[in-house]
Amino acid sequence: MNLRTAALAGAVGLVLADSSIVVLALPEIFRQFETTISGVSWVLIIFNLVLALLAVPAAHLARRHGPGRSAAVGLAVFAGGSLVCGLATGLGPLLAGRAVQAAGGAVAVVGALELMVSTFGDDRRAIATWVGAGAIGAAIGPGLGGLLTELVSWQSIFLIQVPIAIVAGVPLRESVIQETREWKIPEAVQPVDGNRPHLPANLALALVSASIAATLFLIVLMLIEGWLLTPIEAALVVTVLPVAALAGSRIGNRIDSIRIRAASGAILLAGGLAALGLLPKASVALVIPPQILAGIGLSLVLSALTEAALRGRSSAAVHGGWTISARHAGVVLGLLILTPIFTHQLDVQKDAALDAGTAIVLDSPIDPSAKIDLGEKLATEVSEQGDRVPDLSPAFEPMPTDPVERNQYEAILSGIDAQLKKAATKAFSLSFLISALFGLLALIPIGMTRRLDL
Amino acid sequence: MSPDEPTDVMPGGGDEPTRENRPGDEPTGRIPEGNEHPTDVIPEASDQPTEVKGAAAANGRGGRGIWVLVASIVVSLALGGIYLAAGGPVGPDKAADPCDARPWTNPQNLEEAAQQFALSAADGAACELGVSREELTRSIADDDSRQQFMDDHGFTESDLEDALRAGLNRAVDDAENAGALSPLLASGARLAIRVMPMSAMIGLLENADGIFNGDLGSLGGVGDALNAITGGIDGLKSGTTDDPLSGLGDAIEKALPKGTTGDDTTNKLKQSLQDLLGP
Repeated sequence: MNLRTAALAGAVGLVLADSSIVVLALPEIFRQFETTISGVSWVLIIFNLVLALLAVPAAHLARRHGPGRSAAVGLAVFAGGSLVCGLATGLGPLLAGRAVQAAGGAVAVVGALELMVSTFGDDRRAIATWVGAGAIGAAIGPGLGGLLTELVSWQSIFLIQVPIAIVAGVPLRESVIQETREWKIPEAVQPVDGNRPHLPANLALALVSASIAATLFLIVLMLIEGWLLTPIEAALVVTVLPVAALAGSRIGNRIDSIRIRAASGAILLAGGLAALGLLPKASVALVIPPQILAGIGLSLVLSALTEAALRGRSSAAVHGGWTISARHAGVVLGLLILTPIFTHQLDVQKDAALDAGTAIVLDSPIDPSAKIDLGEKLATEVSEQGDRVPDLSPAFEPMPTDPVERNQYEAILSGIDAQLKKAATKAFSLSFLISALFGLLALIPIGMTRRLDL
Repeated sequence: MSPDEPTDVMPGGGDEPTRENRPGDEPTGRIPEGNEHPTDVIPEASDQPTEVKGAAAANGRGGRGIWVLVASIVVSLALGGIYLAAGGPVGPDKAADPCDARPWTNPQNLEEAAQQFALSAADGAACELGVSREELTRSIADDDSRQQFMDDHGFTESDLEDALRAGLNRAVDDAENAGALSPLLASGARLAIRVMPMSAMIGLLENADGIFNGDLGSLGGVGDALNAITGGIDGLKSGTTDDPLSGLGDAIEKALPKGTTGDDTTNKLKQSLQDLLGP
């Protein structure tokens, strides 16, 4: 792999990492901008929505003006958008920056695919590199984002992308010069039989992506907001998913049938997500096995479906654009469907947790009048902390000085914390199960491809 | 499939029809450029036709694919099944039905008895209103919470008062049945609860110690009247008085709810007390 190919792969990884890199920063953004869960979910939605809408037009643009020039301009726009995000002082500017990032990213990613095809002279190898770069980017995204959020700030996630995007664009200089000197616009892509977008594969990609995106979003929120893990701790936990995905790619290499690979992947993904929806305890250890299944599954299904969508079709950029469009439309679909469900469930479970917490207070040995006071303080804390899973320790301040009473109060607080974790876990349960359903629904288009070339 | 693998492998797996191999597709003994898997290449010394080896490899891979599919289904079902069997999905403990009877453990002291009395009363009131004991308890913490609670459920002040009264009566019944309250005190408490205003009922919920240590002053004016009666009975027993109801006059006046003065009410209450005490 030469420098230019490495830079192209880096650019693809950088852009597609942005779909997930910000996931671990969402709770921090949520707190800093005092927004709602629905509001903060738009930091993900807007990026994926713009990417979905612009990927195919961007591919045509890349063909018309040259993939090198397009990719270079795309990376410059992406860097500009990243800068806006990093300097944003409110949710509005942050969302605007994310939209600009996605617009630039769409052009850069499809331009990179076209350049890779011309560099390798081999469609399949180019596609494999392109898909792999995106997968690695998405894989290391959450961990890197979590690390930066905790060690520096959430803004650093975006600011660090500015120089990386610029550096990734430098090796494109020769292509830019060459295309500026002489660029022959290729013939328009004809929507003839065998060259139309592969509908079943793209549909399956959308459904699978819906479940994957929602999963990353939900796991992270559950770990940080529900179980009160730090971003680094959460990053360590969710890194299991990409590591399993890398292991899954080795399994995928051993299976020839794209359809079997895709079906196995969709089933494993759905199985992992269903298990996340059925967690019997709020325990980090229990989150690991479902992530392993989901990670292996997503690796199998994404590579198989992308390969199916691009195989034998030209141009690579246009059909690659369709896969990007399908995947990110799926992400948007997943987030739009699951966020309100999850938010509603959080409200329901918050009431249930409040009842369970009050029961602990009522059944405790403290004085009845103290119970009434404590109940009132707990209700106030819950109401003041809005959408989030509440931290109820302020309701216990000041703690009694008498050691016996203090122990009683500490036991109450610990009991309530346990109930809150259970409630937070339950709040995510339905959304995980619906995500699993998306994965299973992908089996329909995968099955429909029997008579096609999948 | 890796782009570097032999090109004679059928794209859709060994079980699918394929096109004829083009000349360039046929495997050779040379390791293709960039191929990191030399074992995929059939050795030149091979004594078997390359087509046979390729087909066998493809069939092997196709079979492996089926096994991966079966394993995916089994592992997915197994993990979900294990989590379900372990009690998933987890959720917060459910609030107990306030209408269910709560066993009174044998209270060891006044404080414990008062605790159980308050819980029984909250259960009874919540059952009457059809809400959880926990929600009701939070609602009576202050006036704003109470108003919010009534607005949320469409209750009136009178509904809440009636429910609290029913709850306190249930608590008295439970305490009497558990032997924590004598029949006399229980009857007196019921009488007091019948005329108690809301604030006094909430006060009783928060502090019922008085009932269990024989000081009925915590029950308000009627409590004072009952204290006068029990004092009179004690006097009767010790021979210091002949009329156990002699100290009742002022106490009964105080026991009446605000705005309910009059001889008729006083007489009715006095009669109730006399009925209660018996001959």
